[in-house]
Amino acid sequence: MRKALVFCLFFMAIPTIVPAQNQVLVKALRDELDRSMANLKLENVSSPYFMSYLVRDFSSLSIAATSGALTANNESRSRTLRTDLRVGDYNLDNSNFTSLGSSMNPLGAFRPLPIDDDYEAIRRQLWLDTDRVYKQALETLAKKKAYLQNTVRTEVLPDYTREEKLSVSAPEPAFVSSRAKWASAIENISKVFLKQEKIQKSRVALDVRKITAYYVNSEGTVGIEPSLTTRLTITASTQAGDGMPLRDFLVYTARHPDELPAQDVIIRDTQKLIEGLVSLRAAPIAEEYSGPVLFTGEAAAELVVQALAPNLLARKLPLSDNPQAAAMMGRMENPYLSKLNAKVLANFVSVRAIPTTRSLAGRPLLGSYTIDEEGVRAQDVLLIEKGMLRNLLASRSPVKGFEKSNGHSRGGVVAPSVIKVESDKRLPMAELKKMLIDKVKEEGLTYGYLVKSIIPASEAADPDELDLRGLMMSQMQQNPSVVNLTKPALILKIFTDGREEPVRGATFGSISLNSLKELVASSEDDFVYEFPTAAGGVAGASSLMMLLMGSSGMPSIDYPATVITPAFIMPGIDIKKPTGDYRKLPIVDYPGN
Amino acid sequence: MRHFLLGSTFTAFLLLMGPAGPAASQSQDLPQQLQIMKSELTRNFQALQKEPVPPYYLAYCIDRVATQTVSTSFGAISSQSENTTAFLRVELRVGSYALDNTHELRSPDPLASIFSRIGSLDRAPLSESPDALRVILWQATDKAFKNAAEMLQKVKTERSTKVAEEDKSDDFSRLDAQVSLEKPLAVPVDLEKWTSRVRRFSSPFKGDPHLIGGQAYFSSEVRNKFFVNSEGTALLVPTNYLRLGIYATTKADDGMEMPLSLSYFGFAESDLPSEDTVMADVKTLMASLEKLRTAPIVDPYTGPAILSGKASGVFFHEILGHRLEGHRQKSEQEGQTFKKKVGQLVLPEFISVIFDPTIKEIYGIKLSGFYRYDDEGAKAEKVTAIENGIMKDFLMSRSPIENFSRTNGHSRAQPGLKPVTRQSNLVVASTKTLPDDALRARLIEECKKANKPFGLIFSEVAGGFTMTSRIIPNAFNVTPLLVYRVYVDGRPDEVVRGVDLIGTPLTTFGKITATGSRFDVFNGMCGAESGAVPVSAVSPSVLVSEIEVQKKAKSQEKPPILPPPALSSGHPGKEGGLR
Repeated sequence: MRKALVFCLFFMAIPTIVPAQNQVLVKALRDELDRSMANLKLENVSSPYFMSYLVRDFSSLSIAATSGALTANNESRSRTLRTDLRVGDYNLDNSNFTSLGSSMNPLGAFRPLPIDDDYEAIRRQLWLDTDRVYKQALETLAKKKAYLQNTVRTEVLPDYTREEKLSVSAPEPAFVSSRAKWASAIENISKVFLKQEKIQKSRVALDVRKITAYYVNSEGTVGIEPSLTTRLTITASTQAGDGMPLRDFLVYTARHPDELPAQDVIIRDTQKLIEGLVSLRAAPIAEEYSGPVLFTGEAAAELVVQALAPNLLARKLPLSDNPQAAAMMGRMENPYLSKLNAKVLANFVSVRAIPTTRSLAGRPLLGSYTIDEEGVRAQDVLLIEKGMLRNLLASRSPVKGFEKSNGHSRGGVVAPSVIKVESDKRLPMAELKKMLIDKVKEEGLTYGYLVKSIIPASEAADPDELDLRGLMMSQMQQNPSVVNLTKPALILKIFTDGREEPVRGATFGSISLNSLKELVASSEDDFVYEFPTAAGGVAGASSLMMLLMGSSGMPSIDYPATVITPAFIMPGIDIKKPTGDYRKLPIVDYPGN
Repeated sequence: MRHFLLGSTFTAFLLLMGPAGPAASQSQDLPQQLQIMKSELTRNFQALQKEPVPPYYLAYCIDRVATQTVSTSFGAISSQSENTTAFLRVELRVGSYALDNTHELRSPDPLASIFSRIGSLDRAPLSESPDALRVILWQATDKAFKNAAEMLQKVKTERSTKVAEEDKSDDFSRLDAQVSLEKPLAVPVDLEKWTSRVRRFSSPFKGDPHLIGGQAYFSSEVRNKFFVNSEGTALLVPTNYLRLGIYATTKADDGMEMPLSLSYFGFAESDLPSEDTVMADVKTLMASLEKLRTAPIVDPYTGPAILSGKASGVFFHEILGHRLEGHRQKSEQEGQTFKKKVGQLVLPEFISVIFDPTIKEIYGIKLSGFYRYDDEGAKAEKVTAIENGIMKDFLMSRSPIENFSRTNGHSRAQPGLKPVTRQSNLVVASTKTLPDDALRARLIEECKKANKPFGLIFSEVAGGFTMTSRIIPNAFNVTPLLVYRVYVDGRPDEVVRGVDLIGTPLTTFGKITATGSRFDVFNGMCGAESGAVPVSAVSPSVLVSEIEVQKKAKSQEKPPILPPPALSSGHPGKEGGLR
């Protein structure tokens, strides 16, 4: 369950200190970049034609509690540098190519940089990293040219787009670390779980991140993009009488933690979460079903995140002299790349990216930003117009048909920003439910399904139920035109008489992308949903990596993104009944006093 | 900003007790945290006795670790952190002392090793929170019990389908209740003070244009271990580790990168050297780096050499120490070099090797392998592994091996990981010592005998690694940082570069012909299955009649093309020049 509405009540201006933007850092970046562009050259080979530095200055506060006690309370600060240096020219350079044995990890490009504003120390690090990247770039370009000598390319596109010089800067939000105050709030919220004998495990986690991205390039662009995001996640798990594991969660998002709902509101929501979970233990088990399903609120949003958003990205697949890698990447190709001006959704649905909209009805949209990590201004894009695919989100690495950047490069790849699903066929919720019932009757069924929430892809890897094998298999068998949604957290049967009944244990059958063309109708109201999109990949595939990184103490790198969508009915959805065995219930009684 | 370990309510329960009788009678005297652990342990243990496969052993171990670290690079902070984590490890055994769920599976699940490396993700409260602690322990015990029952089933199945193992010893040895309650430590350092110090320590590196790395770091780690088990053991053991390190790397014109480092260790801030001492060491380090950068490269060579105390310590740690770890003698995957050598001569008669976790310092140098109780709650004991060259004993945990049934307190792990037998303070003792000059003279003598124009002195080493399994060659590698060539013809010693010291264990031991009289200490972190644990190696310098060196893998990258950025204080002329 995700609480959205409360935010508008608590909206207030973010307290900002307007500091002299980090002069020392920007000057060091500028100076070393200029020096390198002017002088960096090895004999008989070319000097760089383009260079950029991206520095991410990262501060974070993470506090977690279990059963009323703090189990983590950490604050950290770091700076990372990504040097992009290109040899060759815009048409053919060292990018978009992977070689046998070369790393494909986009996070590998980030190197630590001093957090002190020490001009000399920063320049020294820039100098060493630039030298390393230049030599690597030369080597890659040589390998790429060798590969191309024996290859006939069916389509030749430039490697990098030319973009305008930009100067963008915004004041940094204050990272007021009221650590003690938040630690006690998290502890208090977590106390709600004490003496809840039916709840086996709980976790309340606050994650506040302030990231300021500094970007300079050799085309003269300077961009400073500050961001502040807060995410409060409450998860609880239990088992039904027959051992079936049950899990539900609450997520609150805001820019500044002070904009989160008041503690008593969160506590009340948490109590409801517990009640819901406890009553779910006694709910009937889901049955096999194929027919219309109504996705509301966060379920609709998560469907957009998992099924639609990954296909809205024009990610260029690099050339490779490694046949295995090439074959693997080929299988991952986005099916929408070949669907320009073809029908991909129902006629009444349009989809836009609106990264320039900072807030909606007073509620901040965390996926908004001004300049991307390639120095291109974030642009609003009409992606799908009345069911027809018109454009994709793009970076400076052009893909056939999508040859201009619209400022959507974040984390080394094209990433979603604020995705808004629009509809011409909106009905009040009561009528939408009635329509579902009509459809159910038409198909001769006795009930339909209503999905209220789906476990977010970012939370799918449960450390207690860690199904490593399952996650590995799901990643290996990725077929981009079929979507395998994560499990529903709250799913109800709607009977033809309008009665609703929660069920447990349901999973989704595979959903074909084509079925998105069959959407029936949508709700009047829109739902705003924030989700983390991992650097270098989609959220689902990376939750395991995030978990591993989290346990090894590395900061995970993800970017906030937003989906705004109404509820909608989709026909022909398969719901599967649970299979397999469960662990027994706890043997020993819940501890008393 | 800081989250410290313990509240003041806690220290009120302080008690110092010697080894005592059954702990149950004293539970009212235990500090609150241990009391709760103990009562929850008893409750769970008893309730689980009703199960068809009941537990016969249960232990809770909570390591509350507070770390403060800062690192700098060329005079600027690169990272700074203050963290507290309370790692919870539940050890639950079903079956019997003879055969239980921990028995090695010969066809293990390949993914299981990935899981074991992640370690336990269970976390205990950071401060006193009795109710929360009970719920967390209850939940973790239930999970551990179900896992254990499942594992025992697999163990039993494998027993009936595979051939008998070579080593038929029990899975777990009995141990009397241990009780030791010390005062928990909460001694955070003034991190700001250390920040400005380590800034200064890495500042001189800015002056050397050839350095591609120049770091200094400081860390303080306060560890309070709370341990209870179903045998009545109750421990509260605090430790404080302080480390100061300097690390710089230079690059020769042929691309070879050569690091040198300094490290200092202590249990209290007063154990660390003064700022002046460190700054003087940094100067010496930089001078050595400059010599190394332009030093000639040694070709692969076999011949006599002297290993300094530090080099020899690492050498013994790698080639001997890891092969004396008890659990390796039991595993069917391991090479077991020394398993059948008990009572035989494995080293020259003048050498003894002792592992002694109970000593805190030697010759005024603190030893990082010191501890009082191991991670199975057993008392740390001095182990004479090799006496006058004769193999006597292994490092033991509570997992018995053939002919060695009891623990000697060497079961260790990084917090959160499952412990196995690991080293502590390795001390090499010798009855055939020579003064430094005489040892050097002997080196030259050996060279002449072997018809070699020069011998080598390995002065500083970074560390090393060794392979002990059956499936890959059983070799070791020690990574020297600073090596001198000593000429037979009386030319002055010369710094050389580009070699690693390699070999196979058994042949190398026989070639130690004498030792020096001066001891040195290598304090470091040792990594193996159960994570990184602090250890030390103490040794005199040793003369080896024949060692082998191989070419070091080297970077193929040229030195930086541009000179370092011209800096504020300015050599503007250098800016932009090509080399």
